[in-house]
Amino acid sequence: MSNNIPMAEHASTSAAAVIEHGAQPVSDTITLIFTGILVFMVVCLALEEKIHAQKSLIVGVIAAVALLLGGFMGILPFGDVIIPGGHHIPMPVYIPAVDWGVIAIIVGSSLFVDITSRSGLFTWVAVKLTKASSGDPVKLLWYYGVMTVVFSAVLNNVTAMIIVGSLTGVSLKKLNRMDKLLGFLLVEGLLTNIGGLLTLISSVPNIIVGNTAGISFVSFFIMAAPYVLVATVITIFMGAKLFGIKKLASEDQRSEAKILVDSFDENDGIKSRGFFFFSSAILLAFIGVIATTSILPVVSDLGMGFVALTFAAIMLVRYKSEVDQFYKAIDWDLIIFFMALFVVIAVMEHAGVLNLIGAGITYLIGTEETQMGTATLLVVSAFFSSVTDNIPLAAMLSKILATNATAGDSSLWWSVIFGANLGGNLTPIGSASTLVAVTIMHKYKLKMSFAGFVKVAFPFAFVHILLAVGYVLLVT
Amino acid sequence: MLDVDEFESAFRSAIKERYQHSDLSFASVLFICDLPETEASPLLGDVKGFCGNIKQAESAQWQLLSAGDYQTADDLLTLIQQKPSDLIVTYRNLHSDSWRHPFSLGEHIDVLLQQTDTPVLLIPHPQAGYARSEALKHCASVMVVTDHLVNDHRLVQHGLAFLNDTGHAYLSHIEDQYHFDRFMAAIGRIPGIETEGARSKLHQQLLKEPTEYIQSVKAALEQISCPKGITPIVEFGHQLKDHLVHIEEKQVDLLVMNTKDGEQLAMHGLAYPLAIEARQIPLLML
Repeated sequence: MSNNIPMAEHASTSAAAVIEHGAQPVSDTITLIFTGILVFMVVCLALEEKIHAQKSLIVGVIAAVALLLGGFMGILPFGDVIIPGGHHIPMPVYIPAVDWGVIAIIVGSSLFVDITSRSGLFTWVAVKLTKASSGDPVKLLWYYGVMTVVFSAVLNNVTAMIIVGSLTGVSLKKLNRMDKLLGFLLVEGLLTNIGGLLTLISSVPNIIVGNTAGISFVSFFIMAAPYVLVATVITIFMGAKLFGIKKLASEDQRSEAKILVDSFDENDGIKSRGFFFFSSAILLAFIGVIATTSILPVVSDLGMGFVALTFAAIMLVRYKSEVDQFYKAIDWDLIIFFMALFVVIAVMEHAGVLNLIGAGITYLIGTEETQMGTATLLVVSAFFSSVTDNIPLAAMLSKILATNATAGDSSLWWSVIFGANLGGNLTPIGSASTLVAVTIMHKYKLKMSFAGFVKVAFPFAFVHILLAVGYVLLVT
Repeated sequence: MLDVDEFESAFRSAIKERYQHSDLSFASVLFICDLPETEASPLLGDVKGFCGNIKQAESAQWQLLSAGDYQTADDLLTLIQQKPSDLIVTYRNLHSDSWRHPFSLGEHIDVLLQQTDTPVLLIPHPQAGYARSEALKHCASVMVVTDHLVNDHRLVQHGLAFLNDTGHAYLSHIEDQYHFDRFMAAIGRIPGIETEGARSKLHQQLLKEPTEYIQSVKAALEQISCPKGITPIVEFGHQLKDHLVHIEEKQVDLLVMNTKDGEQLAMHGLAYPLAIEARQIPLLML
């Protein structure tokens, strides 16, 4: 392993690649002031629920303050932006700071998934699997577990948790197995972060780090799939054991459970057969095109964001007279959070904060890429992503690795990817999907405190991280 | 953005209660009257004829409680406990003169209906003269009434048990228009809820479940090649008035309904007024 290979030409559309805004040396005082601002933002994000403020507002305010301070201190490179072709165009400094490619992927994917769900496709799959289990709790755990991983991989981990978690609540209630709901939801919550590792578009940290490192969809999948498979099997086995989820003992119990799950009608959510089949075909096409974006002529230049937005537009044609309803349903808190976050990171770069953190990371992992360094970065990433949002962490670390000219095939990228995703399994605030799992638990009046979650999730998270360290060291 | 509630609703909606058919048999029937035994015989003959469609009707064991066997409601309940049966047949205003005033079922019947778990076939009072001329002559048309038809397998099974092979069962579910309008008026004053959308979705959902349940009854009968016809009456309206209209229009021979309400001592909401008003035909009260 070496870090002497030139950094892969990354697919990121970040305007940082084409503008002449370079980070100039700044005084230590300025760096420390902005480090304080960054720490303040991270603490506020960790305490998001305590301070009753949504993350878009927290990061938005910090971005505004950082821009103002940066402007006053003269560290921001105001001026024209050079676009391909050499043209200079006037543009405020915060516009090219945003990675619009990532924003396009998130907006396009969430619109696409939202519209596709109207076809009844996801509920059809979910109900079919429920019926296939015949109501046996162990089979149900396996089916729901695998479904969580696949949905997390194909859609995203929050959507997967919403679909599988809500079905779990309804089906276990129907089967009179509410005593097992906590175990099911916890296992599913943990599996969202495992499934979130499977593809480049499964989670936002994957998108950010993968784009920055220039990892293609197929390379990402080939690297992540074996780990996801093993971690899924181990998690479900552990979940069944720890939460006492057992097979139905008698024939009477089995026939009663079968009658109960047979009352589910998988076709109930399908309003139009045509749209159902159309959505299924388009979903497969979406996965196919996303998987081959890096090798498709022209599409590879337009990027995955274009693919996601185009497929969303194709699906919107079905609802052409009410597209505004879907626009309203976009999670603007998330989108504005990302945009503001990119701005904050850009200012931090100019203030020398990223260099400072990079130096800290270099101190931890060494200047040469070593096994100890790779393992340390993964564990540290997991720890930090467990106590704060994994998206800023992934964005910051990928920026630092890119700034340090880390090779595209370096194991350090994978340390960040695995660490940022798996850290979410340590605490309920570590990832949005585990937070959804806890929200569903609370909805069903199941007690699950922060400490309670850590207590039950730690054995799983420990195994996941240990397995990831071994896997990354073995494979990269 | 998708949310948990949206998917929970979709999955709850996917749960369809399906009718489970079972042929009921009534091995022992208790006939209660306040007539002397000799005068009761013709009426008992009519009742036996009316019950002729039930499974193994010929071999059913009939017991009689007549005038002099009991005086009070307590006596009656004690005797019923001593003579356990699968069906009780009696008439309204039993052991009472209040049949002259069509405002109640009489205290004996009120107590009986609430105290026993045995189905009660309540026929018109033999002396009152308000019975339809065809009452008790045959059972070719049954109406099963409930305000929540979903999962009322027992109710439907009882209705079908009395129906002759070529007969027709009307499974009715009338949503109360007044209450619906009242809730919609409240929703109309809440700015966060789009009123017309809510009205349309709620209207559709309230009728969807009973409609699907009745379809499952049809499917279950087709599966066992049962020739009895099933017609749904699923609509919004006035629960009492509209049921009475349907009873007249469809020339219903037997009205089947629930009487128990686990949360109150009195008879189940719609059952009592309907039982009072529909006095011209037999009622099967569970």
